[in-house]
Amino acid sequence: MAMLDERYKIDDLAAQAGGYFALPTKENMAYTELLFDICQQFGIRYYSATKKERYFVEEVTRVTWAKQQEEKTGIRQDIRPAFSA
Amino acid sequence: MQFVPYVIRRSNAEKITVEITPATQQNLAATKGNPPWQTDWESDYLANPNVDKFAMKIPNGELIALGAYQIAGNKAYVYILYLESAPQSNPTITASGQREYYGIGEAMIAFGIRYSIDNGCRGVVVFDAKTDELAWHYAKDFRAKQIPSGASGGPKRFMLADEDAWNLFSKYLTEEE
Repeated sequence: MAMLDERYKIDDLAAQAGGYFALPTKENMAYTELLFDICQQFGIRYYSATKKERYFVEEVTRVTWAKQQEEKTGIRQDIRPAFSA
Repeated sequence: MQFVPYVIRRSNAEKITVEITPATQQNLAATKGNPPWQTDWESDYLANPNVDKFAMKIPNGELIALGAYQIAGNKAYVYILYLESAPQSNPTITASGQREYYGIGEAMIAFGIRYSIDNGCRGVVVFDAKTDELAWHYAKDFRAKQIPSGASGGPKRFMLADEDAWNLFSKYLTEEE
């Protein structure tokens, strides 16, 4: 091919990397499920959300996730309060 | 209108229509052939019944890629877990050092969008880029949006939906003759 479509570069990169995607862990996938749950709870559609809406649901997810991990493991975590950055 | 996925033959830039169907046990076992594929498609992870595996084949029945998809988030999106092209399309494995087909990744993502639609997930797909360089291309070429993954320093996670999913998908939508 004289001129390779930019969109096909991923084929070469994936061949070098041993695949196009990284296999997520079950726990890691659960984080995205929580993010979607929280988006639904607040009636926010993440993909078309404003920057402020995204920041809001991302913060709620971060803190909720950390609290859940704390409960699950029994190990106290140093959780930065929401909207404090 | 029909969803007609295709790949491009490197040697002559010809469009080759492909078939994407549920992977058979024979397809998965073929990944252990010579040369073997880079991933164990019969691993416990991919053997999970919740993981739907699909095979991409050219018209002569030759297997050129496998993809693993999972309906997730209470049917809010489809997770594209893994995707790999066959060794003949992988220049790092072939003796010639040249790939045979291009467009495998894009067509398999488009299939993921259709699979998402078919399962009530409105065409939303999520995936984790294998490398930062791939992540850069997913964002730039496909306009996928990065989303938080909860793991700092891990693979970058992306979502493709709405007009960006449409832009990718529409090139495989053709009018019936």
